Amino acid sequence: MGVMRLGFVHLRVTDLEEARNHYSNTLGMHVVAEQPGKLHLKCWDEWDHHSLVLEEGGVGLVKLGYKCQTAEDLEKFERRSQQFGATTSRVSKGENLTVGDGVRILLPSEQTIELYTEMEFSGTETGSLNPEAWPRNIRGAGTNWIDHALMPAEDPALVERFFMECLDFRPAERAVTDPVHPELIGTWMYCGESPHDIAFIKGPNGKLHHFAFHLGDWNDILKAGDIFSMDDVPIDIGPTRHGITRGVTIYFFDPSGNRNEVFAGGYRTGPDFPTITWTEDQLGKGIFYITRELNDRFTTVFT
Amino acid sequence: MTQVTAGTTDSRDPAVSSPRDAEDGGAWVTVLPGGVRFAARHAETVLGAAMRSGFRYRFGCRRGGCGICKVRLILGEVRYERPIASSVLSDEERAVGVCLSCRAVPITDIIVELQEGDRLRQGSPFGLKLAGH
Repeated sequence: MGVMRLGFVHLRVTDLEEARNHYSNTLGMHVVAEQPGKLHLKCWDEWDHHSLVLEEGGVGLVKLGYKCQTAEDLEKFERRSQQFGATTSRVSKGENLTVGDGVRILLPSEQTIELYTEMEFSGTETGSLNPEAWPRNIRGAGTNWIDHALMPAEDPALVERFFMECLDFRPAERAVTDPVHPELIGTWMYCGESPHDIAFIKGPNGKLHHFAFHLGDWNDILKAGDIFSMDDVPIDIGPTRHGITRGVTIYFFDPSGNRNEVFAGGYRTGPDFPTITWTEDQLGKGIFYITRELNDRFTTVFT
Repeated sequence: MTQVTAGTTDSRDPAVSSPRDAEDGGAWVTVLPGGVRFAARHAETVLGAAMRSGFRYRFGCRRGGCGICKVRLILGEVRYERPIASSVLSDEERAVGVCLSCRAVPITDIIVELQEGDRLRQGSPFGLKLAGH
């Protein structure tokens, strides 16, 4: 019961055709539906109708969709969010293509999320009966699924408390200024068993830091890096490893400047997972475990 | 990274950039502080020309999304060949000469000033000769 996962990302792009090329040919998604000024895409390993909506005009995040298990979950989360003081509204079936009724919430950090329980099922590319390991027509980096998103927040502690109290997320890892008088500067939170389904770091409200695509392993990350070089994709950092989540990673930018990540690995969490703490003096190692140095861009570039 | 020593706007060291780049539909870009000059080729952005010429300054996504590479256009004109989000570069900023250098293409010779605290650095490990050396 509860929130299952990040179901879709709805993103603004300055040029829809450049974005189509990046997300389909470079990252390997498929366009599943087109509307005027909008594209819907999914990765080969995803079974719902879409996981990415690209909307032409501007840059940055329109909203994130988190899929929940039951209608009772939606009602509970709506009620708790209102009690917390967040602004909520109802989303009607069909307002998002093939998505059922939902609840829209303006987070304390001013990004919008929508909770829903139903999206048209279209199946993975390899199917559910005696499936092959991967599709033969895989393109580019061949990303498996959209995994998580990280956003800046002026008050990370407030938005962490919102996700814990209202949506039953737990922090897998937290970054604090110092352990004696801790001020929260980052939180990596999960709702299932992955290391993070959403994360926040200190920064301006209402913006996107990145959203991530899952890949199988370190070799897939390296191959993705090769594809990025072939396609002249601007790299932020990587390939490297995160101390936080222990995942392996490359950060890069889409043709509108929105930051993407390819991510593999990490550990398993669960309701009894003991939260890990990083102190600010070790945060370089926490974010980029191998180089142990934060680059300026990581804490300043948002869309 | 080596700090770039100030050159003059008149120096045209061919190792830095070829005058032909500027003459073939391109333009000269002079960067303040320091006055180092390099050529932008036809349809090449200010940041793109700087990086090709072996220079670096503060930049972010290089795709017009974050605004980290904004500079001030002191002299000359640029154009944008791709749509720019108003949330990244507002009309007010454009009016006072703020220029998004990863997307701005010079259409005349230009002089730009880096943001306060930023400086032009030599980015090439092979030590391209710099103006003023």
